[in-house]
Amino acid sequence: MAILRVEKISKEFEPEEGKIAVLENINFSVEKGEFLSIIGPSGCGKSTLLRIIAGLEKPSRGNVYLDDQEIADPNPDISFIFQNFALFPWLSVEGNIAFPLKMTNMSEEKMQTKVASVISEVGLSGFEKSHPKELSGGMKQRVGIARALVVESDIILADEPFSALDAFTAKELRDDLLKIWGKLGKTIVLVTHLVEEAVYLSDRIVVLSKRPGRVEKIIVNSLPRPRKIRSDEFYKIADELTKIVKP
Amino acid sequence: MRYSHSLRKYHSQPHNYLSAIILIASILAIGALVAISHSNTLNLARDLALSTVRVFLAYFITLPLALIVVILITRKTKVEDFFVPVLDVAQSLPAFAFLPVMIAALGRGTLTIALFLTVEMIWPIIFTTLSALKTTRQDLSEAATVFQSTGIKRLWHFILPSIFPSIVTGSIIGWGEAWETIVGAELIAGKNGIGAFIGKLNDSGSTFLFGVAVIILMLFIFILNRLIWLPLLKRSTKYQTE
Repeated sequence: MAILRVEKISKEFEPEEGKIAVLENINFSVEKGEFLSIIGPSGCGKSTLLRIIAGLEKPSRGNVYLDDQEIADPNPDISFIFQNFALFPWLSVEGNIAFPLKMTNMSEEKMQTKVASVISEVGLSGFEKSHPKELSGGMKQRVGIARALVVESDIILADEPFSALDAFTAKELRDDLLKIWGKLGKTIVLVTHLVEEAVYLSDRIVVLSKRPGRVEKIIVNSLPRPRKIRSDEFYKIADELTKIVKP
Repeated sequence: MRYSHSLRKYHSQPHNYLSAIILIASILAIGALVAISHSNTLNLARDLALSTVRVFLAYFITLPLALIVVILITRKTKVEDFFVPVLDVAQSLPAFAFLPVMIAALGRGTLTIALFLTVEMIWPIIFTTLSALKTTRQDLSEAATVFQSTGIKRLWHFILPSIFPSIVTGSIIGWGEAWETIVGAELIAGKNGIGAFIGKLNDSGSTFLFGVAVIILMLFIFILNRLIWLPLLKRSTKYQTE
């Protein structure tokens, strides 16, 4: 059953002169509990598309539906993991994670219980009182992931969440995200420019063409998990994707 | 990083020497004042206290007023485009031109002086916070939006913390300008306060006492800065984005 539907989304930016078409007639849906990646060449509008789904950007045309309800503004059932973490420097780890809960009328006690549970889930125990400046990139993104999890939204959007990390940390976090996804059954929509990342993580991969981004192809990735990145089957899908993603 | 480096200047040897020199000079000045005239010391203490109350009162009027103005005009781009040039022109108007009008309307009391000080104090706070709001990192603002931060909760949990360093910086500048202005304003209003006290000493030809009073005023402002603004400035580094 589709939890999220993107229908006929187009987006044009209007700088001082003329129009720049960024997305054109984008259609796809995301099943409940699915891990879906959006991939495409640089500047094809994949981050813009994710921001439109999050309600941070208005489409020029088309609609986004969550459980058949049209959404236009940020929705509590959709949370977000940011590329550069977007942590509030004045708040500690637990303060950053509790931020979305503070926007609700939740009791302090319940809030603390939830934050403690998520902190333990993402491996941040012992760093509760640390501030973002005192954390490594990997730890910062763990806080970003924890903040997205604490709201218990149905859908998590992730905008190139590992691109600001070194290769080893990125691999570790990918595995952690997969574990969390498997355990909690969230629906994840991830934007990436890395073919291997998309193949490693996703059930389906939406490939966008170069600007203006159109859906070039949707690839179903049924490789068994955990995926072996050096297997022939993995390379086969990665090669197929590489051919479609034109720079 | 650069900011915390600049803060270390306040703990450097030259700064500590300067602090010690100002302290010793001021203690000597107070001693001299007490030795010369008991009544002058009492008057100085009373007038200094009165001026301090006026500066604090002005600050507590100015800060919320400046924040309300900035938050309201930055809500819509068109409103901001209209008001920023207007504020820019308004801040260049000579504040002292308004003082006779304010005295005529409100008398020579504390409220008049405090309101007059707000005219001087408000501009640095407005322009530093305006600049901070315009340069808030977009992803932080989007994170606040995605996680349903709106209204008063957004103001309290996101907007105010994100502009806190600029509030402190603008306040330090405004505070300094207020002390400069209050001496002139009280000289003109001529009733009481440190400005009026210094003016009377100058008129009576007591050059030595005049010098002593100026040194004590400097010491007082210096101590207030060390006690209030330096700790806030240190604290504000925690609020700065990387």
